[in-house]
Amino acid sequence: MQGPTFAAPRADAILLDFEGERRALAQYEAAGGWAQAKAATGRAFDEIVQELKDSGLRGRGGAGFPTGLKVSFIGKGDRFLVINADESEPGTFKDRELILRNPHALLEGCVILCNAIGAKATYIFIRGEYATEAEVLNAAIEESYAKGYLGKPLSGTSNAVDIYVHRGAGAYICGEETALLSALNGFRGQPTAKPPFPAVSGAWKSPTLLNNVETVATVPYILAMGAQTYQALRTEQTTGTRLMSLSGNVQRPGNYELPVTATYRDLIDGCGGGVAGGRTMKAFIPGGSSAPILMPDMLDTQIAVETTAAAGSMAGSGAVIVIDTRTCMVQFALRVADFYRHESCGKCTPCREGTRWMVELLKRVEAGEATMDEIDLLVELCDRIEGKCLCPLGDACAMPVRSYLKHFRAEFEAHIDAPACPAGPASPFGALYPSLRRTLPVVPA
Amino acid sequence: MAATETNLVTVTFDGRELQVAPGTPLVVAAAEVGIEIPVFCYEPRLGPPIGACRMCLVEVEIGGRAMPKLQAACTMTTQDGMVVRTAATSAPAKEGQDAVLEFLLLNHPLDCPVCDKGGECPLQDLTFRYGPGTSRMTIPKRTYEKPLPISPSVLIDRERCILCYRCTRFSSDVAEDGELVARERGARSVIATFEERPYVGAFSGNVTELCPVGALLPTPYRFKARPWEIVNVPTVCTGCAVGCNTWVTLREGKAERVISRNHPEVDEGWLCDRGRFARHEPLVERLAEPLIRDSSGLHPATWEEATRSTAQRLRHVSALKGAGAVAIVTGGNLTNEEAYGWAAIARSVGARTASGPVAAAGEWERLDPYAARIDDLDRSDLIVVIGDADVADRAGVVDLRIRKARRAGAHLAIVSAGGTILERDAGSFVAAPAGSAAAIVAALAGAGAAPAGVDLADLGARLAVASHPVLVVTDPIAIALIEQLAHTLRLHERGGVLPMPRGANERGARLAGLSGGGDAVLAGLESGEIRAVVLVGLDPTAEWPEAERWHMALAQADHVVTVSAFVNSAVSWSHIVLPQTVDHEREGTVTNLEGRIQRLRPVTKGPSGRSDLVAIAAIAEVLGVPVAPTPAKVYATLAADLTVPLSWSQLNGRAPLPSRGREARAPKKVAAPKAPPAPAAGRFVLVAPRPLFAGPAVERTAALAHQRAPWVMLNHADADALGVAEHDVISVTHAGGTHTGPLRISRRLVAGAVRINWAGAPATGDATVVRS
Repeated sequence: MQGPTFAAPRADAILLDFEGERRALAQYEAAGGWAQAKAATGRAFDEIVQELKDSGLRGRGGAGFPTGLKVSFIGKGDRFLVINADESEPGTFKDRELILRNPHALLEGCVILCNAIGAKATYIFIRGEYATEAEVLNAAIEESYAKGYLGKPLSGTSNAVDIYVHRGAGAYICGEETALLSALNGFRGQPTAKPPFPAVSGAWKSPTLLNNVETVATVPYILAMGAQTYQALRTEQTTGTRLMSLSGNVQRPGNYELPVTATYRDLIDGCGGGVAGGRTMKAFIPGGSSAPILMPDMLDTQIAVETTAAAGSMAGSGAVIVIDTRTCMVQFALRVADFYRHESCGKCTPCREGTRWMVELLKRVEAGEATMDEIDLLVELCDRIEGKCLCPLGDACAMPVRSYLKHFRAEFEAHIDAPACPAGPASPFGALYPSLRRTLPVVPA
Repeated sequence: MAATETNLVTVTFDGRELQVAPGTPLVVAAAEVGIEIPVFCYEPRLGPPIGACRMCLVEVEIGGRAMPKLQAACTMTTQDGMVVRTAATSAPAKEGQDAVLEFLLLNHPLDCPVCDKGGECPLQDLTFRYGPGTSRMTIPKRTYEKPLPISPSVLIDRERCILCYRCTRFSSDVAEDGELVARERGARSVIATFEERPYVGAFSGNVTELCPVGALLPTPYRFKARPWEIVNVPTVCTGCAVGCNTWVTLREGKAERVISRNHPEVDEGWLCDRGRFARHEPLVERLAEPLIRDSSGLHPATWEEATRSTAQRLRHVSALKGAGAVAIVTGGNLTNEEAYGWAAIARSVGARTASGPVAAAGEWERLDPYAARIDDLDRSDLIVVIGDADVADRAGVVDLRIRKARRAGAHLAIVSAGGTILERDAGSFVAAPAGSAAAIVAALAGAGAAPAGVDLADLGARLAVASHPVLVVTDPIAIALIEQLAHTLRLHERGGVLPMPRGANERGARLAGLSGGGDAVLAGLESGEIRAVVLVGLDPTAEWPEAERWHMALAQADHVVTVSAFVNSAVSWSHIVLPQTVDHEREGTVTNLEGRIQRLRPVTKGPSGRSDLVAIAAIAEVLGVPVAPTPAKVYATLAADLTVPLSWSQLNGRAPLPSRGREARAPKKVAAPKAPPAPAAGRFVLVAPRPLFAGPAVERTAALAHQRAPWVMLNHADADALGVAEHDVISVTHAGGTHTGPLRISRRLVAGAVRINWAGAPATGDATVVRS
């Protein structure tokens, strides 16, 4: 079996600034690994928090919450660190590569944070489909135990850290922090109302710090170069580098580590070699399938959190999906909405019922069965889901579909004027919805 | 008061200002200023709110800053300066509410005209008040196979289900049986049982009341009535001594359903399945007219003949043989007024009386200075349950209250032979030999040694420091022993003892004058001192220990009068049989285990058409004793005699429990009980406390058949030694008969014991266990 091939590192990369893999502990140590965990043992909680605050590091899981602030919120009691490796947002595959190529950076980050907050255990909740990645992590953990980085205190601290890998069972919702914790605690993977926040009641109902893989893996590098150096690479509100997952109709899909000052054009054209087959870009998604779509005129937007937000979307998990002009946006909307319908956990009403209704309406539009009113109804449905759910999953369905309706309403209307999808089999999604019309009753003219 | 007031915060709802405790759910606070925020999933009895249905969305402003999204008013709590705008004044909140109702109705079948819930359905009511008039739904609704039984007593219609998760929360967070779960996800989520096995739990019927739509319905009530043709009569369940408050649904002269009438101090709105489903009205099997035995057997007689003959026989025996030759025996199931009447009769003929099987185990008034109220459990920090019987079997919903207290932080300590359902979640469990409850209580009171191998040090230490310990003894042991322990622990100053009488009104019957125990009566019958016996609402040959001895003793009595609702085996020894009324045919008062006097209201008439009290008054009249034939008058006399502070008319609604004096006197020393003998080699100690699902009404209820299914429980080591495995069919032969059922293996049931859910006459002693 051929292993994965990885993109060449860029000069300004931090996390993945090397060729190939660094899975062996010796390789990681040779590159200066574990020095920060050892050096940080003498540092107080407040010092680490200040360092993280000064670095300007923001969570890489999607919400972009300032990491230093999050660490400072942790409640008193037996604390735990939980790593969110349930990377499930369509288009996102950065944590996967990070784990495959640089697993020890994550483990070192875990130990640094555990020692800072006084946690004795880290749980890495990894999505069930990441079987190889879980194996790689477990191998790295085993090596670290053998070398004494885990399981006993590093010199200068009395805190011994254990790390456990917990594999999920295949639910997108478990990427949401409270659902993740429910599943980790042995319950149905469904979000719970906040408060209580994980910082107060998380793993085993104890104060829990919950961070994304990339966020925690960045911590040793920040300590190594110092917060001031790290934050020098910045836009107004975002600092450092990001791992960007590039996919869709693009020449060279893959993960690329870019400074947050880079633009989406740098990523798509520079790293990705532009739209595949020399075709024309129709639009792109900047931060995972739940992010509102952006038109090509926004390509010069910087990939930072606030710049992407100003452009009308969100940087999310850094998953960029390129869409070329062959794509039928109704089919695209249907594909996206159907994902969220399938993944809706069923706990709160607007998401459970709204996503299903939305998909059924989109099917009718795609099949040429709908009326003009139903397009308005779709927009209203987005209003009625967005901001009314228990967790962000409902929003994740409504926001993108609303953006497709905003930018490509004519395409939706064309489906109603014409008997069926005008793009038809030419669309990359044509193969997914070939039989919709055939299953409908034939009404004589 | 000033201190409390400064702790209040100011919150504004739709322009109405309110002073309220911080941290109050907005739905609750809004109700205080008369604003309804509609809810489906919110139900405080199920634990913390979950914010699932989203019906309660409101706009919230804190410190002048509007929160960016609508907030669920169930999970959001009050903070100072909060401004809340509900759907009444906020367009976004109104849109949120409209959205949720529209979504909920998308797949709901709207089959209200044929739905049993129609007319008393929260979804219907809230749709009517707040909902859209039409639907924009153009796609096919979700369909499921329906209705499906989730147990023989509950049906589920998944199409009607709006997935509010109240039922699964009840199962996992209140009853803690984990039987009802959600399966699949998203719009295909369904409420189901684990692996499609029936929901077997003593409290499963509560989900039918929690369900805000017609998705979970009680099977016996399906298609029985519409809400506008029924009358709900407020009364009290007399299945056990808890005295849960109920509504009995009356339609066309028949009691069709029992639902809870929430009394927060007693039942918190829960009922056990026995109280809810046990049918008391298979009228064809009921005794409908008085019978008198002549040389050719029992023959119908008039009430006048039967009551006169009863009175004359009692007077005759008493006159001829002197005081103590007559006995009046009840199982503790009479109303206070009936008990008063029988006690008056007993006095006039010098009769001995009994209101329970064992005299020493029935002296509940000894515990009065130490008696806990049921809601003392809510305040307790330590709950100690001693005995082999399960709390649920002795006092139904008290089990739920103990679990609630444990979830709130109380330590639950259990000392028993093991195999009870409550011990699974206990904070500490001490295994003790079967039948050693008396020895344990004595040991804790410092009046004896603990049984060999039982370490009570930890429990003793916990009892010493607890600020509000509540003691529950589930086995029938001498009350004097419990009194001694309560006194040693100074439970008149902190916490208390929860009495566990067997009969629903055992305490009331004793207070009214029917004290004493069946053990003394049995001995009197056997020695020939007692020549005439009246059995009121009781068949000692089926419900009390020593069944065989009772049979023989009744056979040699000169006169046996049975007052019973159903034909039972005591009838065959009886010379006079008087029909009796049951639960919801009676009027009067009953006294629950706490001593709370509650009122029973008649819903239907018994088949004989005569109230028990009228018959008692007729017998008393012949004997020249004045007993009024109406409960209100008897109660007035009784209340005056016993200085009960509540008048008849104060017993309406939710009955209060006036506080009592708690002056404790030093109890007399009781000899330490003997340890139960060890069984012979190859035999097992029988553990067979009477299960909740037992008795004539339960036996006649099809919807409870699955609850009575027999089982046998053995310790895993004993099972291994016998070479038997879980689910193997096992026969247990003991003094009372043979019990056969599938094997359950327990790791906590003590070795050498066999536990069975034997519903026959109580049996103890040893038993043989074989694979059948």
